[in-house]
Amino acid sequence: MIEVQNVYKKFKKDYIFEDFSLSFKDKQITSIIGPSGCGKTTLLRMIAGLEDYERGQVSGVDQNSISFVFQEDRLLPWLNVYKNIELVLKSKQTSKEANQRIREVLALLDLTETAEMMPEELSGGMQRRVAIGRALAYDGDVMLLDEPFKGMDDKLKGEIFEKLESAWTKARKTVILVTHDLSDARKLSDSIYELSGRPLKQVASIG
Amino acid sequence: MRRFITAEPSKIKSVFILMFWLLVWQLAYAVIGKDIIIPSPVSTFKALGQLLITQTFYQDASATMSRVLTGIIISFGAGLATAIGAYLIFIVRDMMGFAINILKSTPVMAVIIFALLWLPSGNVPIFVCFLMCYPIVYTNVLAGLDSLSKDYIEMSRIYRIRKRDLVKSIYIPFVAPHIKSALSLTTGLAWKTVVAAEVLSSPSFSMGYNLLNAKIYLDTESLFAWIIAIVAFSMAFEKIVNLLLNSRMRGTGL
Repeated sequence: MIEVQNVYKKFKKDYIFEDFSLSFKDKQITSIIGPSGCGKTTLLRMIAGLEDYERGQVSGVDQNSISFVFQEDRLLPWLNVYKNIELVLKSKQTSKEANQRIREVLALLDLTETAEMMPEELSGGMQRRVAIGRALAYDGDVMLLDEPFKGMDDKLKGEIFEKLESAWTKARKTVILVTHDLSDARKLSDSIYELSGRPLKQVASIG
Repeated sequence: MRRFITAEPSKIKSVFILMFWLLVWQLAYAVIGKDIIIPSPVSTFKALGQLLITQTFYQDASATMSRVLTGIIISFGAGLATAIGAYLIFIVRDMMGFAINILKSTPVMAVIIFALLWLPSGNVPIFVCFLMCYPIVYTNVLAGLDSLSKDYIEMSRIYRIRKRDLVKSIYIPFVAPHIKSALSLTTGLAWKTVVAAEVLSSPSFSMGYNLLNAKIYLDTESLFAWIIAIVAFSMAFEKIVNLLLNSRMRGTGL
């Protein structure tokens, strides 16, 4: 279980998290919803170890075992789709294993045809799928998704939900999904928490 | 077909431009009428032809070329190393920033005079070339490293990307265009500074020393011939470097 315990986090002079605690069950999809700027992304970044905090602790996360879909795709423009995914697998897998994993993920996300294409040749939705594919391919127990469906139309979202669900059923990772859209959260999650107020002290479970 | 249409006029245009400036030169010669001030194109090219059949010309040219190359290599070695140091360690950045500002505003002549006191004549041009080219390399490489987005570094931290993959797949592609721009800026400058330093330090084999000799003996035709040779070498050198760089860049997909 991932536990955020009594965390205090300042932004400039003001606290955005004050004695904030929240737990995430293993091998479940938990969604965090809330208005823009409420601290959802900061919470994910603290769990990932990308953001420092003043007090408190985050436990139950192996920093070597996290994959992260950032709000921006962060694909390297000079590497093709295959190599973008391969780059993150090199530290943990042999090239043969990596090749097999990449092929599986590309097939799962309907991206097989794009393996040799450069990111700039893909549509925004396809680039997003590659970023999700990179996170899925990575051999980690925890997957953090920061607004992964931002800018997608309902049809594309529906397709991605389907792919994500089937990938999750196979891999059973602990997933924390940040979104501002309650209906997205409802479709995918086992539990949903809403963040609101400033500073953040408590969190409401809404499903 | 398109290639034929676009390539041919550019060649014709180049020939016309060359002819135009040769004509201006010939007119200037005709107006002034004194070989000692400005020689005719014909006599200059005759003098150049005579130079090209001597063995010493090639000895001088290769000595100058090796100084240019050595100066550029040292500048790049030091520029890369210190820019990486400045990127990683804040105090190094501050220290280097001060030194680079001083170097950038120091006149070439002042550097040459100091170098003449410290070094053997053959090494003065290399040292001067280094001091002139190094700040350009340092500044460009550091700008390249600074332009590297924090987003990619975070992504590499999350996915535990190996150090060698981080350097190969993220740092080098970011810095490569800046290195390319530094190289194309320094090749021309290196030739100018090396020849200028050779004129003043007069090493036994050098193109600059021959410029000085031609001036002392008022042999204006030879002086012009040496200038043409230096410019030709410098341009050819720059062209080769750019061709090599472009082929390397194509290989990396940049």
